[in-house]
Amino acid sequence: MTQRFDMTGALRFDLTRGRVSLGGVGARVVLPVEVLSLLCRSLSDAELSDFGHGLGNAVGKRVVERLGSRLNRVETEEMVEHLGGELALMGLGSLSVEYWGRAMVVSIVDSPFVFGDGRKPDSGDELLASLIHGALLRITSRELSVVPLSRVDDTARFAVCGQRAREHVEAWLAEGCHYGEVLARLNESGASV
Amino acid sequence: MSLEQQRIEQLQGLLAKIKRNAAVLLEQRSHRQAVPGVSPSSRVAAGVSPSSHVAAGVSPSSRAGQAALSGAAPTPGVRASQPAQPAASDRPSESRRPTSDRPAQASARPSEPAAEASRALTKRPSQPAPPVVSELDEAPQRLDDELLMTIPPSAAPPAAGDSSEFELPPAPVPGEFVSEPPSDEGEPPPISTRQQRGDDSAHEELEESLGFGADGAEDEEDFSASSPRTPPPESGPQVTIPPKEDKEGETRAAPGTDSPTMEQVGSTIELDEPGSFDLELADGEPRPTPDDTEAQLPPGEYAGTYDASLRPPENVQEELRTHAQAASERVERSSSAPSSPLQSSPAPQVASTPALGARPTEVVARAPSTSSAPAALYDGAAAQAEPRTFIERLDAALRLGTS
Repeated sequence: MTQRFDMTGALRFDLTRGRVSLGGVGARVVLPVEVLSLLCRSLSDAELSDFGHGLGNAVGKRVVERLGSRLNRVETEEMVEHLGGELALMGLGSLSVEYWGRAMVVSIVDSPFVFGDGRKPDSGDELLASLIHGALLRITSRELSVVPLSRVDDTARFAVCGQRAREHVEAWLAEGCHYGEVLARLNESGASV
Repeated sequence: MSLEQQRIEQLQGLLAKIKRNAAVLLEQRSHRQAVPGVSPSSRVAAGVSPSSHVAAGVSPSSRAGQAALSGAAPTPGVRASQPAQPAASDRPSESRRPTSDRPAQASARPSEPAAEASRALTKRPSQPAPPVVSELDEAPQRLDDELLMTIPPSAAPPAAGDSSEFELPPAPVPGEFVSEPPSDEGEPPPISTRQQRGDDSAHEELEESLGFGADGAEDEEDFSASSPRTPPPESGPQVTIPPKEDKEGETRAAPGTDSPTMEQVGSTIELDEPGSFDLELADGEPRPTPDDTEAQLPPGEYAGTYDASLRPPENVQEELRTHAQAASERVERSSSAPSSPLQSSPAPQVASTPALGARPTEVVARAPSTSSAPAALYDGAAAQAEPRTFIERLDAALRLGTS
């Protein structure tokens, strides 16, 4: 049975003390997205990746706390419910999971982190990929990679794959293949295993 | 004698009286022509109006009849102011003109006696008739009323060129409304007759002069008593006809009475009381019961045995043998070779179709499979189970591209 994500009282604003907390535990800071974008642009790839992993780790931690012992039995819908709920509380957009064959694709819609022109994965999508990677790493404890595939309008897609598959995907994307073609080739490579 | 015949006879009697009075009028007029200053035309036409013509049912061309019947004119005195127009009585349209424009003409009368006569003939209900009017100016009131009763309103005045012959009014149609004479007591008479009633004094004198007094009253009474009249709808309760005696002296019951007459009752024949008769039944065999109607089958002496009488006769044995042999030969020919029409047919599928009754020479059928092994084998189909949980699907995705 899918357990719905309950957001009641998740974000608290203590106006007397001037503090915002998530679940009454950790303190949060409400920042303008432009300021955060300037900050991310000034960071290197490693620093941006660490910044994203830090955010995702916190998200994964709360999901693990919510799911508890049922973590390995939950289905995709319930995982999307809780993981997407946590990202929504942070104001990072709406999360969904797509399966292209056996390839898993995570898409985020209406993310405020758009640092480029939106035609190709930019630093904003790199930040989101690091965030998703940190969260899934915390939740599943698997060695995985998250590669930005595409951005179409307000939808950013990320492929969840292994380390070796990451190299292929990046190579196909460098060749200019459409993300659909990339996912098709990924499935073909996986079938030969 | 029917009602119509009675009325016709009465009318004929009245007509005879009118003729007699007209003769008297003509005689008196001939005497008056000797009097100076009096126009004979004005005297004749005095008080005559088309309405009186219609009411009287007499031809207006007959001046004697006009004079006799002119007393009940609704517009009296109109013609009296026009003495110089002897033919005015033949123009009914002029007589209907109002009299208000006539005094100027009347004042221009050339002679005093004529003017006097015109005043006398201008009768109004409020003015009594002057004594100078002779009896010739007065028309019998009762005669006019009676004729009003009998003449239908559709009667038109005859042509002016008719002679002094009087025409009988048509008999009233049965069921047609016939006005009753005005009664002395009770409801007032109609307006047309009320105006005439105002001139009773003048009319009475005219009646006396015409000899229509007591006799006319008696005739009227006889006529009214003998002729049943249909009362108008507004005249109150209807008059029932009293029962009359037939020739045989039997009294017929009037409609609506309760007691039937002897004719209606007739003679009653009483029938005898029905007696009780016993039905005679024929003495014989008792009636069969339903069980007895079932026919009994003959004993089974032929059951399981061959009846030699059912064997075909000897003379047809050879014929049956020949027929069976011909049938077998026909079957062999049809099975060995296709028939000629099928051979000439260009369609190959039709030529290859065996004829009916042909048997296949050899049938090769596939032996049914006795092994229980599956007919098809799928390589790699049951290798992996479909991932269900998120972790399983993530592991499946992570295995992609690892080769």
